[in-house]
Amino acid sequence: MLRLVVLRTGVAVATLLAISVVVFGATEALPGDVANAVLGRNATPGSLALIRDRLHLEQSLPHRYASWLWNMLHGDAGTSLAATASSGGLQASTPSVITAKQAAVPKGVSVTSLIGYRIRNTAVLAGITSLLLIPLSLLLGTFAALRAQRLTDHAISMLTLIVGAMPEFVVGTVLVLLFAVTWQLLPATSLVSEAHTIGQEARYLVLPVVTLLASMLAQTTRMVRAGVRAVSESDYVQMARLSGLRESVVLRRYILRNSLNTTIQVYAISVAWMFGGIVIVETVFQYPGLGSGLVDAVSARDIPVVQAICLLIAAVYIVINLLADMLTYFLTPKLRTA
Amino acid sequence: MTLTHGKLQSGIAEWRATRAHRSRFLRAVFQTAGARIGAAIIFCILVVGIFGPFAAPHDPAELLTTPFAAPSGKMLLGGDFLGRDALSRFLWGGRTIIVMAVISMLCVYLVGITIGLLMAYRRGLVDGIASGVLDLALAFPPLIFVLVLMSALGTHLWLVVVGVVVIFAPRVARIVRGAALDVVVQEFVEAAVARGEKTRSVLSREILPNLWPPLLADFGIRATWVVILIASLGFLGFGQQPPAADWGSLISENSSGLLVEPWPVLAPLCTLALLTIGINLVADGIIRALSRSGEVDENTAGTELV
Repeated sequence: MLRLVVLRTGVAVATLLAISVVVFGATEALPGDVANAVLGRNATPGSLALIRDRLHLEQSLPHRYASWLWNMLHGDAGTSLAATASSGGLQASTPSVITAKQAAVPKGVSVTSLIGYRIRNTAVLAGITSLLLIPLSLLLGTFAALRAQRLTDHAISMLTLIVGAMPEFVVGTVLVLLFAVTWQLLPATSLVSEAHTIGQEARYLVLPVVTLLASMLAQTTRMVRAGVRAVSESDYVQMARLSGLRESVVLRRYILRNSLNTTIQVYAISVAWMFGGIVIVETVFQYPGLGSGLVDAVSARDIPVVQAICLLIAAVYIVINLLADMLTYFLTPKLRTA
Repeated sequence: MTLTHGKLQSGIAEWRATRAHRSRFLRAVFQTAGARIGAAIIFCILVVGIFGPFAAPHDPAELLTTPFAAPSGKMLLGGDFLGRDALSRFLWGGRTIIVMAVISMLCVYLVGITIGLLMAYRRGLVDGIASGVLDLALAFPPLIFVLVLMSALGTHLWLVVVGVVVIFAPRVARIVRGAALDVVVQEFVEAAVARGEKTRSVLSREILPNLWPPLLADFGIRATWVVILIASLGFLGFGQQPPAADWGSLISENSSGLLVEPWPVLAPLCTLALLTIGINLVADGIIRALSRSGEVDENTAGTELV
């Protein structure tokens, strides 16, 4: 098992490195100069020089990549191109903010300080959603699988088919229309601030969490159902039933225990969609998290912020998948003793 | 090469057989009411999306009234956030999404099938290297990848297509490779190679026809994902650029007026919801038909993706 764990960790580290090359390469090693691409028509000699200086464009590409990665590992994600000390916020600025005038006072805001509170907000959103998602999809998926081809199964399938088919922003907008516009029960946007109490913040979180949950639940329920169904149709479950074991024992010790590995993998994979969903949901509700920050940074072509957020997301995804695989090794006797 | 009488005869027979098989399959798909309803919905939305601009009563970019003006006889859906005709903008907003979804789907399958077939056929080093690259592509959350591309190259519609292909082609390739691995070892493939057939014809005429069941099962769900991704990018502002609009960006640009005048949002919203539900209903029909004839497992088909 130790060999497997070491090997798997090595693969994870290699994947993360490869992704860091892709993220860095895609945003930096493009034809032409990044400074020109970022500024476009607003380019002036002064602003070009400022951006070239901020991105250390005078250095060679491998050198820049190495120092970028080194700084990232030490929690220093560089300086934002769009946000300046005077404008402060991520949303408040566009690339044209850096003009020749401001180039005289090159006071940039560090990316880390820009995305710090966004990390917390996104973690809250993703955490609450996962806490609800896992038991709910497990319950619905298992129930649908055990009642396969009966009314409950068809009802669950149909519901997941319809809700899961819709883009997150459609689900979110429908919820806003119903709960914020028509019945006026909940706020339509989630402008969370640090001054809010937990109670106030909870009200802002309801619609984003429900939207994210609705779109995720459909997919995960379907996959959990497939996993449980595959096990419950296997020969050893038939054998257990035929040898007269009680149905509750068959369910607990044979079906659920054996579909555990697939289920763990389902949740690990679903993290990837969750990040996609988070980007959309945060934009719909103007929730100040990493997703909406990424969208703003991409619109403003604030490359250091894009790189930092993407690398962070990729790292979280890879670590969660790594942990899921470890858990699988641990839960599979054949692998545990290997 | 001259076409002999015998070859022509066998060609016609083969064509008849595939046509009969195809119509049998289509009947099986549309046996369920869900698939029929889904197909009808998709058809209606395609008509609206493609021919809508001809029916638009006003210029979609012309300022005609006050922002979020109430619907009237002249402007059935009222005004949008700038006072343009919401109906005309809605009718213009479908084309890009539909055209981009179709082009993207074609490219995704062309690239995915080619890579998957080559991996399974060549195996060895080609397969090893390609598998590594595919695993890397699969480790990237889909939407995030397109956003990285956009931040680097700017907002272009062709970039959306490139992004969709880079995201989904590896997933198709993996399905094709998995299914083709069982086919390449069969005797008829060996026979074709021994006959001296070119690699291209071995792949397309001997191997590919055996891969239709898993590919068809994948197709419907893949189409939903592609439409959702393209519409979502439009919603985030990375699709059609103003003053033009697509159904995704219409929702975000008019959402500030939801309280005053919901119609400019409701029209594209309902259309997109219906479109994705329609595609999913047909996808479900395809999977049911394939599982009835035992070609795929209904329980797992379409769930191994992501």
